[in-house]
Amino acid sequence: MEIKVLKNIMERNEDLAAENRRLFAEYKIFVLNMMSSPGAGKTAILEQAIPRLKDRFNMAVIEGDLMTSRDAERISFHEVPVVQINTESSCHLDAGMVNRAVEELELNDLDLIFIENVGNLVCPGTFDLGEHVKIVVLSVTEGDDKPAKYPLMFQESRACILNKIDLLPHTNFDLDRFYKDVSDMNADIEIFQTAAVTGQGIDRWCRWLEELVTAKNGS
Amino acid sequence: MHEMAIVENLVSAVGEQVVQHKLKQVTKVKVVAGELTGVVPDVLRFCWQVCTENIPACSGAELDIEQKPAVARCRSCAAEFEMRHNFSCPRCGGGIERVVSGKELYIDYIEGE
Repeated sequence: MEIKVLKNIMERNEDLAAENRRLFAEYKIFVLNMMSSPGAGKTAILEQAIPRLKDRFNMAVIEGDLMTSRDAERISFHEVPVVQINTESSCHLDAGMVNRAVEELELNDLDLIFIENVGNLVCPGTFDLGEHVKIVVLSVTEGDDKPAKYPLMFQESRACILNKIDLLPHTNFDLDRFYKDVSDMNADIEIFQTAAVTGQGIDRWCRWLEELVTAKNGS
Repeated sequence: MHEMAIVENLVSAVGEQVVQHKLKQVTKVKVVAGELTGVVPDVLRFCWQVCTENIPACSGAELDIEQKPAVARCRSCAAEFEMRHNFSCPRCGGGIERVVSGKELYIDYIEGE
């Protein structure tokens, strides 16, 4: 007997993501899912952004890592609530993990949650977490060919942060090629150039984020 | 390697069908996976074998995977073209308006008795 199913395989994850989305809507919290390969600078960008946004929003960070709580320790230095998820063998966060992490946060107090996904340019793209916006961080030292090699990430993201821009003269990264590939594959993506170690370009990204959060939360 | 997590979702979805249709044995599961999902068919099949080993109703069932190419529509001339590491239209050079196929990840049908 053949049974026609036509059902999304990821339905279980998507049900949980929908639950997260309902929860975020109920508490009026804007949620950003940050994806990148390991070492692109997600944590460093947050360390620069949090002090700039602190007067405006109450924030929390969900840190996804295979192992260690080093990133969470870096973030908690900035006195915002942090929940560390250690995925151990899993190369991405899923909606269930975020669901459990959110239980540890005082949601009434929050306007904005950053989810720092596990460093990986492939797998996180398949898992809806219930976030409002996905962004991808790429560093110039990784090479300008990464959007072409990992298109899903760049197609799903509302913004791309090109980090370590201060190192550009020391690499063969072709900015024109990068801009062309990314804007060819995603007409609406916003591109920001930053150097998280010096803070260069972070203000502009924070203003973009502020507008999104304000538009969504009406605060 | 997100195949294991995908298979965990798959096993749960197939399990629902088994209960709903009172199946004793699933013999085949046909899955459609778009190229952009990054799913490697051999890895998916291996994970399926491992995950269903101790599930009598699913153990030994064939996992048939149909891969869908990544196809996009041009934002200038509306032509559809296959993305093969190129993200501009081969006809007019325009960028992508939207992805037409390649993101699919669903169960087409299952066979069993």
